[in-house]
Parts: sequence; C-alpha cells; structure tokens
Amino acid sequence: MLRYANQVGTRFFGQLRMAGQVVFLLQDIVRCLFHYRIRVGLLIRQIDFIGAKSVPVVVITGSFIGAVFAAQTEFQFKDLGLSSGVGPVVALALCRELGPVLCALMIAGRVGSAMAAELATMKITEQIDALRALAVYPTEYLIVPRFLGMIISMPILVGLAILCGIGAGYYVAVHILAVPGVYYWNNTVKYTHAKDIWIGLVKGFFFGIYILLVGCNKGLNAAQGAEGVGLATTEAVVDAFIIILIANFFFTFLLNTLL
Amino acid sequence: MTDPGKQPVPIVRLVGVEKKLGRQRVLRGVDLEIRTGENMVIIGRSGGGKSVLLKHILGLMQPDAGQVWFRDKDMAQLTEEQMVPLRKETGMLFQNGALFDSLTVGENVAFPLREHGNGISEENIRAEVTRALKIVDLPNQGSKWPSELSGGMRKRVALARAAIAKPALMLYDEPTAGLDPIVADSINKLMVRLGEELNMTSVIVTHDMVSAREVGDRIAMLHEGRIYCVDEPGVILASEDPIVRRFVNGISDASDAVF
Repeated sequence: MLRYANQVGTRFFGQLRMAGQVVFLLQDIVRCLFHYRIRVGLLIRQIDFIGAKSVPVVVITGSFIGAVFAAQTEFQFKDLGLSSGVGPVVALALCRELGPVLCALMIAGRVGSAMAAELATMKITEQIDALRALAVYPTEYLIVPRFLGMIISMPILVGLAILCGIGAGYYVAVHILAVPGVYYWNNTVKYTHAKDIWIGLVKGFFFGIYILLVGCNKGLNAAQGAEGVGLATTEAVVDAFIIILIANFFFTFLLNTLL
Repeated sequence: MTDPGKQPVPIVRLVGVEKKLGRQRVLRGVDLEIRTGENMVIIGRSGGGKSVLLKHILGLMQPDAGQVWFRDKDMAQLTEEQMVPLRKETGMLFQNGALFDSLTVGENVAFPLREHGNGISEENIRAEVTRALKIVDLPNQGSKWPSELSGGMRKRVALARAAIAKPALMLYDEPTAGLDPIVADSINKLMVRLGEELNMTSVIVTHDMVSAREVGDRIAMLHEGRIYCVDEPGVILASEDPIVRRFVNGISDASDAVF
C-alpha cells in the first residue's frame, strides 16, 4: 500500500517537475530570441526538416481523414436527405478538430521523436557539453532554431492538412458518392467562417510549441546510455500525444469564446 | 615544494570542491591551484572523479560545495550564460572527442572560429583549418563526417577543434587513452608544443604514466575524492608513499585480483 502510494507520488512529482522544466525552457527560448542573432542557416535547415519533409505525411493524413469523414457523413446523411450538408460538416470538423489534432499527432511522431532522439544522443556523447565548452549557449544554438522552425511550419502544415481534407472530401462526396457538387461547395463556403480556420491554425501553433518543448526537454534531460535515448524518444511522443488530446478539449472551449 | 614567493598567479584555483553524483561522493573537498603557463597532470584511478573535476573547471558541472576560481571569477556563482565569455578563453578535449556529428570534420574544426572569430574571413578560416588538420596529422580529411573516422582520428580532430582558437587554458580528458603508442606520443609532443609556443596552460587528466611524465610540469594525484599530493614528476615517480607508488608502478593488491 505504502509502496503504491510512493509510486503514485513519484510519478506525480515527476510530471510536476517536467511541467516546471518545460516552462523554464520556454522562458529561456523566449529570452534567447531577443538576446541573440537568429541563426538563419540552422533555421532554414529546421524548416526543411520540420516543415518541408513533413508535407507528404500531412497531405496523406489530411486527405484520407477528409475522404473517410466525407464518406461516413454521406452514408448517414443520405437517408435523412441532408447530403448537401456533408460539405460544411466535413469542412468544419477538419478546420476545428481533425486538421490540427491529427496533424499535430503526426508531427509529434515524426518531429518530436526525432528531436528527442537527436538531443539525447548529443547529450550522452557529450556534444552538448562540447558546445558549452566552445562558449555557445545550447538553448540558443540548438533549441531556438527548432522553436522558430516549428512555429513557422506548424500553422502551414495544419492549413495544408485542412485543405487536403476538404479537397479529398469533395472528391469522394461528389465524384464517388454523387452528391451534387454545386450544393456541396456552396454550403461549404457558406458555413465555414474565418473563425473556424483561425481556430485550427491557432491550435496547430500551440500544439507545435508543445511538441517542441516536450521533445527538447526529454532530449536534454535524457538519462545515460542507449536506453536513455530510447526512453526519451518514447516519452516525448507519448507525452505529446496525451497533452495534445487533453489540451485540445480545453482549447476548443477557450477559442470558441475568444475568437 | 617550490618557494611560494616565486609562484606565478594561479589561473585556476579549486577550493574545497565537493560533488555527489547519485549516491556516490565523487569529490570530497578538492583543493588545487593551477598556475599560469604550466602543464598540470591529474592522475588517479579510473572512475575516481578526474573527468568530473575537469568539468568543474569549465563550469560544465556545478560543485555541491566549494569554489572554482577561474582568474578572478568563481564559476560556481555564475549562470550558464555568464560563463560563455570565460569559456572563449578555454578549450577542452573530451574523452571521446564529442565532435558534432551534424557537421563535417572541417566544419567541426572551424566551429570556434566561425562562432567567435570576430569577423575572420572565410578564406582565412579555411586556411587555419587546413593547417590545424595538418598539425594533428589528418591532412585532407576536412570533408569527411565524424562517423567515418576511427576513435583516434576523432580525438585528434577534437584536439584541433579545441586548440584552433588558441585558448589560454586547455583541458585534456584522457588525451592518449585508446591511441596507439606512436599517435599517443605525437599527441604528447603536441600538448607540450602548444604549451610552449602559445603559452597555454594545460590541465591533463590521464592514467597514462608515460604521458604524465613527458608532459607534466607538475603532477597531482586524485585519490578518494581529494588531491592526495601535488609535485614535480620526478618527485612523484620516486615517491616512497605506498599509494602513489602503487599507482605509478601499476601494482594491484593481491586482493584486487580475487573474484
């Protein structure tokens, strides 16, 4: 019993400590943004890695989610005679929820894990110490370019996922399931507002920051050895997934009132 | 001991440095002075805290208690960022090189110049890198990746990287471990030459007694978390003290060899 309580307590304080580390890391990043010149070369490399190289994954995710969602909605709506409503339902769901959340999950899996693994490897092979020994502040050199790369790439990727989803939904509904295209499109445009798109992009932006903070924090605090790298990578992905899903719920309410 | 009146100003002064890693008390009150321009060799058993001690000098680790003076600054009181300007005057050779594996060999060596070279031209940087690689006997290897090099080659590249900005204080962590005797000898000669030509102060952590004898102006022995003795190589090698004698001559206790 006592051991169980001890375990729960350790876990709880571990999470609390991690939350604290993440906040300090963010504070450090923001400070570095103002104190140092931005390293354009490293930033471009990160935008390429986080943004450009994620495009195929995000396009596939967005497209197939949009396609499936349009198909399922049409199957149910057809009997109710609401086929013309499929378009806005798909578009709204993609903009507000599916686009940002699924895109963020994919990026957490692809980029968050890679960041954690790379930084953890750098840590255990003393490369981060070497950086410090060569009088370079690691946050500024390693984290800031990743941070900027992430906040630039993420909204664009979410937008791309939404666009692909709507496009694929349109294709499936109109060309495969024979929903009248004009109604579908006109209703989509009519019921999708700027606010819906903003919600998606803002969510994506914050999810991106979170993926980055968790990935970098896990990497920088990795334990020694190959096991440490593996653990950091896994935890970076799992923690990011969980937080994205939970935070999404609160974001939905918050952004619905704010925007 | 030399006459205290003749002692040059210490560049590094450790006062009562204590450090616990996990449950192990690695350093238990280290007092050591390193004089400007000398080659100080620190010997001691493997796992005895020699590398930890070295990392304290650069502020890569913070002591639990005690002071680490570099010139007139106590590293233990500085934040990571306040140490950055001090570290521009220092160089460190890590045990396994700690080369940045996202950069080529040439970029690794050029790193300190690009970071802190004060606008040195790209042409000059390239010339310096070529020269440095030639000195460590690795000409024309600049375009290779660190992963393509052997351990000994990596170490030599790391030496070139650490020394290229001509720091006032060089720290070597096991510079000759794992090298063949000929390369090890060339590294020894290189360390002596750097000290003489550039008036560098060197701190060399090693358990290679050949290297210690050849390079050291003074030898300090770290034993059970404290500096056991400091003296000139001749005195240490001729010492009658059982602990020193056993280490210098490499004699294990009969009880050490029992499983």
